[in-house]
Amino acid sequence: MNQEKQVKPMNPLLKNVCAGISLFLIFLLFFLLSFSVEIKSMTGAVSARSVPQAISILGMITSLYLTLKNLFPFMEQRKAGSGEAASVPRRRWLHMVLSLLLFIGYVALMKTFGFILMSVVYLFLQMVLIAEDRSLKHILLLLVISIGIPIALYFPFRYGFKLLLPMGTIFE
Amino acid sequence: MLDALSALASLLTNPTALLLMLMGTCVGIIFGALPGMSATLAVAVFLPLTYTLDVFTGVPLLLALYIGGISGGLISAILINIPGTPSSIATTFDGVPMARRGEGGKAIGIGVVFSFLGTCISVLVLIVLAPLLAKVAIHFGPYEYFGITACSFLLVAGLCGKDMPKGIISALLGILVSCIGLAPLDSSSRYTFGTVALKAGFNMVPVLVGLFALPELLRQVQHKASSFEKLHVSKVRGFGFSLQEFLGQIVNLIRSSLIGIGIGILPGIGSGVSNLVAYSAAKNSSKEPEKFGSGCMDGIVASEASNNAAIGGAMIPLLSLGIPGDSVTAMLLGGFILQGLTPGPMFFTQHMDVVYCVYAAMLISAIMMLVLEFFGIRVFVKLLSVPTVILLPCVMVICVLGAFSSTSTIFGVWTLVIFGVVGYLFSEFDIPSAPFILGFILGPTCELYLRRGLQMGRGSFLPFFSSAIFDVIFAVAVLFILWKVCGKAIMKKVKPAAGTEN
Repeated sequence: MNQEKQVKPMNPLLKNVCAGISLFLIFLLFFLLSFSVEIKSMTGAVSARSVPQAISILGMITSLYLTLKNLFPFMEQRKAGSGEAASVPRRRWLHMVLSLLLFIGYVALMKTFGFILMSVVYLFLQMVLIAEDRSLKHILLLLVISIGIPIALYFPFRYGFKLLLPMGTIFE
Repeated sequence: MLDALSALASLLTNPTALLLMLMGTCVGIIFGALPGMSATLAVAVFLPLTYTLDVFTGVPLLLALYIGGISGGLISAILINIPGTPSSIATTFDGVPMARRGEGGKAIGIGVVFSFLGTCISVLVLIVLAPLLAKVAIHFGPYEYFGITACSFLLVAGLCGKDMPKGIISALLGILVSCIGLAPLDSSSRYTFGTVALKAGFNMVPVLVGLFALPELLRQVQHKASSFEKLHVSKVRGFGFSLQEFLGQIVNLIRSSLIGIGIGILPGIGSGVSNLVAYSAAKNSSKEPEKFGSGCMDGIVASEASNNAAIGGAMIPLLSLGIPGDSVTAMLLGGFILQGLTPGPMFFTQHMDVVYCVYAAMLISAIMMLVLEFFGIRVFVKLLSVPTVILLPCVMVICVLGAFSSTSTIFGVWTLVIFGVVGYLFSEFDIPSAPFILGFILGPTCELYLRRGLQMGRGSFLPFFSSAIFDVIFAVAVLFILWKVCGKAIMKKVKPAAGTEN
């Protein structure tokens, strides 16, 4: 029987602490960058900088609150040695990262190789990556679908709705 | 009344108009269902075609596309957890859990029926109250609009889920992201780093599609084979729900439709926000708010009734004031102008025949939408039986197409990638995406009216309180905050007291 490997998930309190700290830094970055916004006019005390600054400050306060709200209970949990969560099935991180990289590559190369070619390549690789059944028959079926879908999508959009999809600079 | 009936009769006896409306509703539903495509795009594609048609054929076609497009979003929202249009974001909250437990057909049935009823209610309100509401809306200035948009942020409370700080952070991030680009009024560049593409800011469509579509793909690939098996789908009879269930939703339907109409009237807000607001209102007024998000009927009813009701609401300022409430009504305004007509205060006296034609076309399109989607339920549900291994990558390619078509640049597709990663991180850290969208949509409007109001008040906030409408909104907001902060404490004190009395 194919049993999935089990792993302990990250403590939710620790996860919230990490989220709080990361978000605080993001809001801080937005706040610091707001000083580079040029002030062209002022309406009362409000300028183009005011809203981003006010929102960043509110964001920093809320993120700090989120961090502290979870940090103290987490420390108490650690002292008491409690807070162990139930095991969950291990996730396929490699598949996730590869899928993301594949999608980024698809978008990055679309201008050069065109919508149809890149869509065929992306669809085929993505389907093969996540498919459990990798028999020759199944792979051939996925290949046919990968070729058929972009072609079926391209023509109505290009000629029906006059949408200029990337043709690929290497083919020009 | 007789004139209205004769307009209805003349439209029903015009086979060309009926055929075009049927085609328009069908195309609208398809555009709405495809992630990234929207009712705006559907109307934009067919707008030039109406130039060759007369007003009594061309305008009904555009309205059919509009109504079909708004309703079609529910299909992908329920079946693949990707809202086809911003109008269906809240439909995913309960539609997806329902589909996952094998009730996809029922969820679509609920969405279809209540979309239809929402449209009908809004058309009735449009007919009865258009001149009256137009008179109120004309008094709305920057103070009132600022009050309404700022007050709408309070609704984040209803969209936060279990963790309020995370919901607030999500909304604040949405506002900050909406600040990227040119500032309102003075056009100062904010966070553009000298990039031309960023000057226009991020387009709504790729942001939305990115937040929902890419995380769904990444989540699915992380899990083992079991998730790629076909989902169990129970057979659907009729629309999938009983008369008793229907009757239990009447109050929710009326409340959500009124919210949709009210928000639809306000320029720049529209159906993208109405579904979130109505969902939040339904949750806040429910006796069992914990049911929301687990696949309850109330959530789908609130979202779908309100987004379609916003159509009638958006038509009110368009017809009576000549002000388009959103991008689709702006296209419709173009459609009227192409026919040599200018909507506005005189429209109701000079072109009453066209006004009646609009009412009739909206009702007929709503019926067509109901019929098409009713017969389509079985087809849509079959989508669930397509293995995810094939469906999800294909949906991603359609999303890319949608993101590209909304901006006509690769930057639109990059926006999808960026917000896809953001959406994935949100789901990893249990941060809700809905408040982010609310902040992203309302942020620029709120800032614009704040600065306009300050300009009018010569830099002072005090003139804001000179408006009676603003005062009422402000009082409601204060009461809402007090209730949220002190409500629980009061209820805790009241309950033990009641217990001892018993």
